Amino acid sequence: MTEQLLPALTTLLEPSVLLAVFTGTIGGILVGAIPGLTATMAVALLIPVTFGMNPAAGLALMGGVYSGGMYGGAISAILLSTPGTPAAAATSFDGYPLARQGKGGMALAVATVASFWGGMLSTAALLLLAPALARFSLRFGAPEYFLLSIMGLASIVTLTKGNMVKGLLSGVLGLLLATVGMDPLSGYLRFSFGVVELYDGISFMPALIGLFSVSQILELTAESRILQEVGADPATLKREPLPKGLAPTILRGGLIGTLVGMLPGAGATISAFISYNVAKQLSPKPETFGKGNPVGVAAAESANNGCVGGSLIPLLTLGIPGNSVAAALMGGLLIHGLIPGPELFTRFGAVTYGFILSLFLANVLFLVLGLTCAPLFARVVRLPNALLIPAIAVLSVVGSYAINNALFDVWLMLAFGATGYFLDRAGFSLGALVLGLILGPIAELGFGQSLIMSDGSWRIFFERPLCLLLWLLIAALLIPAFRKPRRAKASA
Amino acid sequence: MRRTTSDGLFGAAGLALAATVALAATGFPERADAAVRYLYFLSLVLGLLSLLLVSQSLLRSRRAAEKAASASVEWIRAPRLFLGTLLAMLCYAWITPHLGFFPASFLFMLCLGWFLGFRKPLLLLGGTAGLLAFIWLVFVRFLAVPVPGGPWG
Repeated sequence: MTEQLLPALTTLLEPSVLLAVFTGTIGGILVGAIPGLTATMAVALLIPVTFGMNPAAGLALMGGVYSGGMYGGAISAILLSTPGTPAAAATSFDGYPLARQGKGGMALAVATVASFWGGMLSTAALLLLAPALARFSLRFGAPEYFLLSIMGLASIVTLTKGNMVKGLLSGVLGLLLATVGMDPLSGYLRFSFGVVELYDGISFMPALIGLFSVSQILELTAESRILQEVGADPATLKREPLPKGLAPTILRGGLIGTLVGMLPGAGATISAFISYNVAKQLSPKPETFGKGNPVGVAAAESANNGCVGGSLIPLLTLGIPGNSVAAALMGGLLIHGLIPGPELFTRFGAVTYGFILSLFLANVLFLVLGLTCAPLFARVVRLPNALLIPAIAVLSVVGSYAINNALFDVWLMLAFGATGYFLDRAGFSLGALVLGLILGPIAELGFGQSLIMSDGSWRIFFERPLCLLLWLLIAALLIPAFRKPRRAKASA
Repeated sequence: MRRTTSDGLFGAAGLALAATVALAATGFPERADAAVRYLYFLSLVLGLLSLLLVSQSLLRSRRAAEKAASASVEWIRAPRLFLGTLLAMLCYAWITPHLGFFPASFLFMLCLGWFLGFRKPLLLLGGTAGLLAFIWLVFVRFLAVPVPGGPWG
């Protein structure tokens, strides 16, 4: 590897490659910050653009978009409670309350630093441990995926602020909504009521935009500004020092992101929720989560950016993309004649290692841009809602339409927005509902495939060593959440 | 509406949904056996949780000590602005294929901004034009992101 690094570094320092990283990162941040416009879409759209470029510059451009896009999602999640990407959904739980308290700049700075370290950690894992980690990811079968989704669902107990029954009901409702459309195993159509657009299931992005963005728009109609705290404007919008003690959370989030990210199909959203859940369970003040605790922002952001390097591990070594962005990147690799596998690290080592090094550079770039611009971005919360509401609505329409080029998705977004608003008012958890929607397809596929593998026996979920380990982790995440209210009751 | 009443109603709706899903799953063909089992599992959990919510609401409504928990639900805080915004968004979605994304968005942003109380016409016009120009330049021209088409754009 070391003999490949010097030519890779030379490749990286070419002006065209540096320009590609710079453009890609800025473009990625912009795309990531707009709800509905995902890094997957941007990378897929860039593939034909990179065709005429040299492979190193083309891959660096796409890598920059991926890293920048994953970070950019946090900006709108924190300032407007509208996650730019699904992976930033968990960021909004504490980021938005911080913005309302006039600490939007600090929340953005925490998200930037956490994203940076999460990204650096996972890229280092990609550079140093890729082959070994790829072999580990192959040990995950259908039962393990089912349990991984259960582990993600365990976050519901963390996301629920009030009545636990309502939180769990929201999660199950999300799982049920995820069953609309074609059964992944038999192809049987369920609950689509003859609507062609529902044959592939409820499109996730319009639902997410509706639940977070439209319901938030409706909520904001009763207020003149997002900023709530009296006296928070404008002095406290200036740069604040970063809170201390975030390093263990960021390190843990980066590791969770890398490990979950390299499992094909799992992805950044699950890792962000798991990391948020773990951070809350380990916190001495779990009751401050959801009310503006910067640790929550750091946990979610370090994990979702940790997925960037993680998802590329199975892609570059085995040709198995870890998520949809990695799948789009695979198209970019193939178009330049780079076939994933051992040759990528030997014959095409200069380009491959150059690409990996460009991810480090992209992380540094968004760190500098993010920290410089955080106070500027944070000024958004000072704008009057009469200006913000129409702007968010228009961007939401762009995002929900762009996924499938279908106006049906815009109507779907509005339906989810109105329903989400009333569910939220009734005390149900929109975060848990979204989690159910995300994890539903993974849970159902894992559940069905496992039962086929075991001829219908449920023992398959308890026999395999990795399954037992995952059960232990699930119990470790759940037990403290149920013990704390009891302890609180006892002390009262 | 009191929170206990709203919880009871949501619980009853959950029970009805669980029964409907379980009933629908009985009609699935044999090849979708795994899907049927999964749906039975989900409807069972949904039914149990809904039953728990109904029981909670019944118990709480009887306990005077838990009056705080059964406080009223404030469904809409500013009815005129809420309904106006919702109506504007529905009209926007309806009018977009007839006018095209950019003219529809222009009208929507101006009208909704004015309705919500922004009374600086030049700033409103500038903000609207600026955002739409940004969407056109960055997303439509540079990134080729599709927007809903229509006769005027």
